[in-house]
Order: sequence, then structure tokens, then C-alpha cells
Amino acid sequence: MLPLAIGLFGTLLPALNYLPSLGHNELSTTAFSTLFNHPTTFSATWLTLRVGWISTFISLCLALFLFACFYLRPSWRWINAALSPVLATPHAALAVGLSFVIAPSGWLLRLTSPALTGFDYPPNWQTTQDPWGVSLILLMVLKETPFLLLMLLSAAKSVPIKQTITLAQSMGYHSSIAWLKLVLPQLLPPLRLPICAVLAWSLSAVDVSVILGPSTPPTLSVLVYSWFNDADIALRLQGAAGAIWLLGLNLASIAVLFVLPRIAWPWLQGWLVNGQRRGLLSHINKLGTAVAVSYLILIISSLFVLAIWSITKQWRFPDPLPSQWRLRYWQQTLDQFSPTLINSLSLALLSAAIALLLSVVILELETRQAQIAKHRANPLRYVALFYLPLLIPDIAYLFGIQVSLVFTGLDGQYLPLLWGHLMFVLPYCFLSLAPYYRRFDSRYWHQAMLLSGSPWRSFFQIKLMMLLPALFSSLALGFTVSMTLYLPTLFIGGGRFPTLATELVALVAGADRRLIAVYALLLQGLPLLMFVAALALPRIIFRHRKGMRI
Amino acid sequence: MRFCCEQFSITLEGKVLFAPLNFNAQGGEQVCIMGPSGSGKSTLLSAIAGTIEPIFRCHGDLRLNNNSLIGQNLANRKVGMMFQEDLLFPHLNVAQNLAFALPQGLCADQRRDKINQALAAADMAGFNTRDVATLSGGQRSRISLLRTLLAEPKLLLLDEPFAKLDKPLRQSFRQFVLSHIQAAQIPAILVSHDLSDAEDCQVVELCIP
Repeated sequence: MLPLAIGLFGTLLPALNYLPSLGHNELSTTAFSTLFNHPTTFSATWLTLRVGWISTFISLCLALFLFACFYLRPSWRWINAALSPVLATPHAALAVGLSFVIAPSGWLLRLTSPALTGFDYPPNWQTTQDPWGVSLILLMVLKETPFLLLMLLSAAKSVPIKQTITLAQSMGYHSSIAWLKLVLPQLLPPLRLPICAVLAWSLSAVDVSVILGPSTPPTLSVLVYSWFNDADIALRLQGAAGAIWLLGLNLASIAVLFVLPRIAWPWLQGWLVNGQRRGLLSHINKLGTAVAVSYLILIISSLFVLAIWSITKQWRFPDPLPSQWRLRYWQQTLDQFSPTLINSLSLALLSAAIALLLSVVILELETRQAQIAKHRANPLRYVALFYLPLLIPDIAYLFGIQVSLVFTGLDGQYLPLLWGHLMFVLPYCFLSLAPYYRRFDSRYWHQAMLLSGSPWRSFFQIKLMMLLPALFSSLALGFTVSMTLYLPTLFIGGGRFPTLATELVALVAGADRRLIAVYALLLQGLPLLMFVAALALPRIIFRHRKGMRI
Repeated sequence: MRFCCEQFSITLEGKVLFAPLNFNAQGGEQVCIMGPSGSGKSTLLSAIAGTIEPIFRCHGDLRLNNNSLIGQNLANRKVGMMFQEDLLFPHLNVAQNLAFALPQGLCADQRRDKINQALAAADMAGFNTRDVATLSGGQRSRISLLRTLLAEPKLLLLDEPFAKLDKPLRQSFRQFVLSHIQAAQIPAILVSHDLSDAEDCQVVELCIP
């Protein structure tokens, strides 16, 4: 938590016009007044709020809708299987793929032209980077829905959904109304923190906004980022003020999210018990399959189009597929960018491994603590602490961290960069491992201790081995998070450590689609490979152990 | 081997769970502890085994061969425990489960012989590489007991080990346990609320004060 505080402080001081290295020594609110007098600040703020709230709202509705439609059906297995690979997709790679599909010269129009549309040339539409942020919202919905579905799934484990629905149906309620009135009120409270994380990310994401977001004005985070990088270093102060402004918007939005249910609850209670058993929503669940299928088609085509582009030599506009193919871009890229690949891989593997180790240590200490303490330590307090970096826009403290690193002469070095990655990777590793670790049956531990008398053997041979599948998937998640980090890599690495994520966003500005596709595919493929390995390895190791299947 | 329980009681936040207990158990003898649910039967066993949570306080003395168990750490107690569930480690096969319990310092041949002997005693010779998840309930219980005994305990604790088994299995498994503790000449303390478990053995009632 310390770096977070240092970072925020380090951003707040320049925002208050205090940055001695640039000759600003007095506290004042000049930076804020230039910020609010800047012509694009308010339009960017409005855009940011709109995109963030709309995409969060749609993601939540879509996740709840899909969950209600499929959870009790056998086809849930398919959705469940699709969750992990989609979650493992770095959002920048998905953004690039999506833009290749929906752009005026994208795959969607290539497949339908000229037969359906009559176009021989790409139309002059703005379907990506559109001024309303529709394509950005679409991407955020695509990316956040599976995350919310996963969170719903873990919340649903403690709710007897099937029995509740059956009971309500026996009273004459339609199943969709039973979902709304009885199941949802039980599922939403544990979903509060994940929704906040989604909202915070949607309000502050930089990399995907650069790829798909509008440019005049850009979203607030992109605007702030461009001020931080401007050749005119005086704009740093304005950037810091903007970052604090973004932080304020973010905190205010989260506060609204917490207050909203309290205001709505008294009003909703009447509706819950008004006895209405059917409604307009009774038939909407028939749309579930259509929604799920179009969602999957959009995701799969986004990834597939990357693969096609990466081996394309020539692809004229209305052709559905390239006319000439070649692998040269792959060879060329693999020859050139080995330092980029090595940076990405070493950062991801090291930070994920260290984060996993720390998570295990913290959780084991927590378990011991819980045995000694009279009552179990309230795990929610821990969780909130780990959620903190996910609830605050990273640009708000990264600049402060950068300033303090420059001040101590540690900027642009490998170890601080690794530590910066760790700061983002640890929460994910911890949060994904914690439920499994806490659920470990302590009697197995007692039995192992009584049999062997050795804490080391009981810990390594029994506890960790029984938790191996959970450890593997936590490692894979940490790896993915590190691979996708864009802003932290740039800020803390001082631009000296190109990774796949930073290179990809840099390329999108103008380079060849074929080259972009190669980078995006690599960024997409490596985490996917890790996830497949994390799923497959325990299955191979324990292939003769029925008791180890989850 | 001889186990003595002298004026032993447990308190939770100053509240006594059961009236002070006094009993002795000789090697090869079973003591059956009975009492209503919530009277602290399992807590008593965990106090003897050393896995009791620190919020409980123990009073009186527990002596195994005239050495007090109070305050001793788990590794030095040499007490074996069988829980209500068999708790076979799901990631290890039958032989590996047994091997985990064997004392260290044996050579590979000795370990293999001990495991094979134990399996033969349970009519389960040749089950070495079987996945424990594929065993029947009775087989699992037998492996669990054998595993506990291979750690060479000086006292055996059984926490309702028969509750999960059906009637005919119960009878044969009870005989299996009895024959093994008599062969090893160690005392056994059994917790149960089924009267049929208390046949032909010393019964200690836990009374809520």
C-alpha cells in the first residue's frame, strides 16, 4: 500500500503546483485553473463518464442476463468453458482485433460487400474511434462481461438457485420473474466490489482508448496521458491536476455505486412483494441463445481476423479473404523483436511467480492467525485492501511514482519495473487463489501433521500439492495481467523496456495492419498458452486421480 | 502402553464443557466415550491429539506411559487419529498414502515391505497403485486406519469412525480395528453416540455440568 500512497502524494503535489525540479516551489491552485480553463477538459470528462457508466451498465445487464438464461441449462458448460480464454485475452489485442472486424474496411464489410451493401470501396464511415465512443463501449462490454460472469459464478455457489426457482414456480411465478425477485437480490451484494473495479477500469483505461476511443476529444485518461508526455514539460502540472480530477471522478462514481442501492432499496422492496408473477420480461429469455452466439461470434472473429492478417500479403477491399499469403512478417518480427519478447516474458514470469509466492505466504499466515484469534479474521477487510489498486485509476499514482523514482535515480531500471508489475499482479494472484486456499479442509492438515509430525512435509507434500490446480491458474492469471500492463511499463520503465503491450499500442497509430496483427496475436497467444498449460498440467499430473478433478 | 486421564476438563471462555474426567486405558484396550452432541467429545480428542484450537483451555492431566502430553508438540506426542471422514489424500495413490505415514529413515525395500504387509492384512494386496477415489467405503476406511497405524502411534483416537459405514461393514471394520490395536498393544479411545459401538469395552460418559 505504501507505493500507492507515495504515488498519489507524488501526483497531488505537482497538481498543487509543487514540482521543485521544474522550478515550481509554491503551493497554489494554478494547475487546476488551467485544467478547467482548457477547452477539451469538460468534453473529455463528459465522454469519459458516459463511456464508463454506459459500458459498466451494459456489461452488468448482459452478464446477469446470460447468467439467468444459461446457469440452470446444460449449455452453461459451454459458456463456462469459454470464460477463461476470453478472460485471458489482453484487452489491447482484443481491441485491435475488434477494430479489424468493425472498421469501414474491416472484415464485417468485406464479408458482406458487395453482395449485400454494394460497396466496392470502404465507405466513409467512422465505426472505430467514433466520436460517441460506441466502439470503445462495445469493446469494454466484450471484455468485462466474462469477468462479471465469473464473479457471478463464485457468488452463486452460496445461493440455492435451483431450489429457489422451483419454489417460486410452484407458487406460480414465471422463472424469469423469480430470478429478478428472488435470486438477483442475493447475487448482487457480493458483486459490489467487482462492479466497482469494472467501473474504475472503464473510466481510466488508456491503451484501449488509444486504439478504439475517439480522438477529438479523447477520453480524460488519454488526454492526461498526452499532457504527461508532451514536449512542453510545463504541461506536467496540468496533467497531474487532470489525474487528480480523474481520481475524484472515479471515487465519486464508486460512491454513487454504493449509495444507489440504498436509495433504490425501499422502492424496490414494494415491487419484490407485490405478487406480480409474470411480466414483459417473461419472454426475453428466449433471446439468450441469440445474444450468447453473437457475442461469441464477435469475439472469435476478432481473434481469427488477427491470425488471417498476420499471414496476409495482399488483401483487396471487398474480398472476403486475402488473395496472397506469406509468413514473412512472422519471421521478420521474430528476428527483430526478441528483446521485446524477452522483456515481456521475463517480467510476466517473474512477477507472477513472486506474486504467487507472496499470496501463499499471506494466506498461510492468515490461516495460522485465524486459528489463534478468537474469531476468524474478517477476510473482507483484506480483500478490500487488495482491491484498492484496482479501484483507483492507475494514471493517478503512476505519475507520482515516476516522479519519486526520478528523484531517487531509480527510474528506467529493471528491478523497479518488476516491482511495479508486481503491484498490479499481486492483487489478481491473491484474489484468485484466496477462495481455494481458505476453503482447504483443515482436517487434511491435522491428519498430515499427526501422521508425519512434520509441518514441512505436511505443507509441501499435502497442502500445496492438493492446491496445485488453483496455484497453476493463479500463476497463469498473474502472467496475463503482467503481459497486458501498458501504462505502468511506460511510466516506471521510463520507456526503456519495450514489451508486447507497449509496442502494440505504439504500432496501432500507423503501422502496417499485418505487423500489428503479428504483435496482437503474440500478445494474445502467450497468455492463452499459459492458461491452457494451467488447465492441462494438473490434469496430466493427476490423470489417475479422480478425487483431484474440480 | 498405558493412557491415564486425570481430572481432565476443557473450558471455553471460562465455561466448562464437561465434568472432569478420570479413566485409564491399557494396551489393546478400547475406551468408548459417549455423550450427547455438543458435549465436547471431538474437542476432547483434539486435546489429546494436540490439534485443539488455542481458544480452548485444558485443565488436569493426560499421561501416556507416565509422560504428560499437556504442552507437548504434535510431533512428539505419537498419537494417531482417525477422523469421521477417511481423509485419504486425493492426489496420492494407495501406496503413497501409506508411505506418507511411514517413519523416515527406512530404506526403500523396508518401506515397500511394510506397505505390502499392511495391504495384505487388509485383504487388499495388489492395490498399491490404485487411485483412492476408486475405492469402496469399507476399503477407504481400512486404508485410513492402516495409514494411521503405520505412523506407529502409541495411542489411537477414533472420532466416530463407523458413522459413515452401513451395518454389515460396521461390524467387520470394528473387528478389524480391534484386532489391530490388540496386535500393536496400544490403547484406543473411541468417540461415538451409537450404543452398539460400546459393546465389550469400558464406557466413559461425558456429562454437561
